[in-house]
Amino acid sequence: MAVFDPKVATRPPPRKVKVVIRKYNPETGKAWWQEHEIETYRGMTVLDALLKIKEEQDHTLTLRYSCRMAVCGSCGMTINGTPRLACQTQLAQVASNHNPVVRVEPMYNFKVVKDLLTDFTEFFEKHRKVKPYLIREDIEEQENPKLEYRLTPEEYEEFYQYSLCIACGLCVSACPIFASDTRFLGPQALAQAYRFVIDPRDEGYKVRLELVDSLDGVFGCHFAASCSAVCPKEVDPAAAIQRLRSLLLKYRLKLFRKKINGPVEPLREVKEKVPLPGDAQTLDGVDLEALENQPVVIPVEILSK
Amino acid sequence: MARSSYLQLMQYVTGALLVLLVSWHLATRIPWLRGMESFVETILPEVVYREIESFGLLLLLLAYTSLLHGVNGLRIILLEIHHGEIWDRLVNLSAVIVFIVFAAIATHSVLGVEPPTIEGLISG
Amino acid sequence: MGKSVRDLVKYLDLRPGWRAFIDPFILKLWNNPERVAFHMHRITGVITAFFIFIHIITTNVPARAGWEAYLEEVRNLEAITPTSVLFYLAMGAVLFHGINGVRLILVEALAWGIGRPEKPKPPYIAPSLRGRQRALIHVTFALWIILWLALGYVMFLT
Repeated sequence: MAVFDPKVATRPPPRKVKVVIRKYNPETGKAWWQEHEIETYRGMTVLDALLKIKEEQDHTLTLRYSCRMAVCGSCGMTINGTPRLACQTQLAQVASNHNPVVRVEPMYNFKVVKDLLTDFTEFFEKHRKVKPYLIREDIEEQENPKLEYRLTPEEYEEFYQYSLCIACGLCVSACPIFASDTRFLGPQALAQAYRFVIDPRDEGYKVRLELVDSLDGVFGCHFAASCSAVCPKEVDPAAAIQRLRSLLLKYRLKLFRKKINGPVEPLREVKEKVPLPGDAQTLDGVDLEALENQPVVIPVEILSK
Repeated sequence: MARSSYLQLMQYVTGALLVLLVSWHLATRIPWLRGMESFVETILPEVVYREIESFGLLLLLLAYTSLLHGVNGLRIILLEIHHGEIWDRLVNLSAVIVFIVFAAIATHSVLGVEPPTIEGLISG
Repeated sequence: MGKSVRDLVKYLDLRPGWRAFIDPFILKLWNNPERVAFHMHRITGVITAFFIFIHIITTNVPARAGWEAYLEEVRNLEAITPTSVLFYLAMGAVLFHGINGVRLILVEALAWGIGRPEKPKPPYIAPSLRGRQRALIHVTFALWIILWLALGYVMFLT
């Protein structure tokens, strides 16, 4: 994300803010800038401002939003020239007293459906193209699972960061390669490809490496790192792509062999019994040993009433 | 599509090689390293001819690697800004042609050079 | 409303290839010198490629037309002439492309200097933007300016 300064974000925004919205009417094909002036309050986000405009001034304003807390990744927009989530951006961050203007545009690099609403079809197609799921060869275990797949905390940390992606599309909208090359898979899809290539439970890495081995794949990236700079979840797609490329080059030079974890028995660790303090006493009528041997039964029926 | 990764690998290898070769190429133009007074003295005919005579192969290697790196780089940019089967083929073909033509010119400049004559130097 | 490059963009479907040329002017990103380096690497790369073509043609002169014609060329580089100024600008492009290229080889081919994957924590600045390659960018720009100035001294003042 663009550098976040809590001091700036918690400041009260200017009392009145001019919101300039890029409107687009798909029926006439016309696009124009539309100005609205709104009263603000402390803690108002750009999404709040847009919804206020939609309620009070222009009911035709179209935008996509859902959770209002940067989890769903629906409200990506270009705000004052920076791709951001509207719900996560405080007005105080983008408007100041000497320039109380907020320009809101749809995300670049996406087809616009109407006003601020962009078409994510191609984005998700590209995401689907890199096979963002675990591929296993042991079909029997997949169909009738009896064991579990081993994953150590160290292995988990290798890809945990990349699995946080909320598919908001900000990285794609900031990508300078995507601005010219619409066939480019894009930072989001490539980061997800890396996330599954490096996952030790996955056996489909060869398919994915073949898929991204082209100018439209991993070699389209030239490390402008804008994707990492705008990512609201610190997923760091730029680093993922560089790792994926380095790994692909190693793979082509036959220097890379992936460690694949097979299914293992679930861990059944016998826990050490913590002795009671010497002066501890049980209540009257409670047999501690009998309680320990007795399985725990949670009275679900009572709880659900 | 395995070609793409090998081409990119070539781009990195030639790039790394070029950093060394161009550093050397620029260092030979620093007058004080060669006991000269000015930059222009380092590109006078007899100096250049001596250099071509003793380091001809290295200069050719520099020309070829820089051409490979440069032509491939231009090719990548051109393939990026426009799409289409004919365009892709055209760009790839012209990249090969440009490389061959300029490599031939570079080879000629090293192999076809005559020693500078005294008349030439006097008139200069 | 002030006129900006963004107002010149007429249609909202900003996707086709030509948008790449106005991209540096319409997007504002903070904490991202990599993007500046990327655009400069591309521009200097194109300049360098054409410089290589011209350099190969001009250094072919001794073999093609003899050393007298070559001396004519050398005379152009002796003082501040349009040729020597263009040559100096091309040298700047070559220097930047070379120095930044070292960083790019380290980052792209070897995945060096982009930090380790980590659990995100405030202020949510990605590890690749905090890694050693960021320090290398500052070194790149500094070294470029120093070397370019030094080259100007060698070319014009000796």
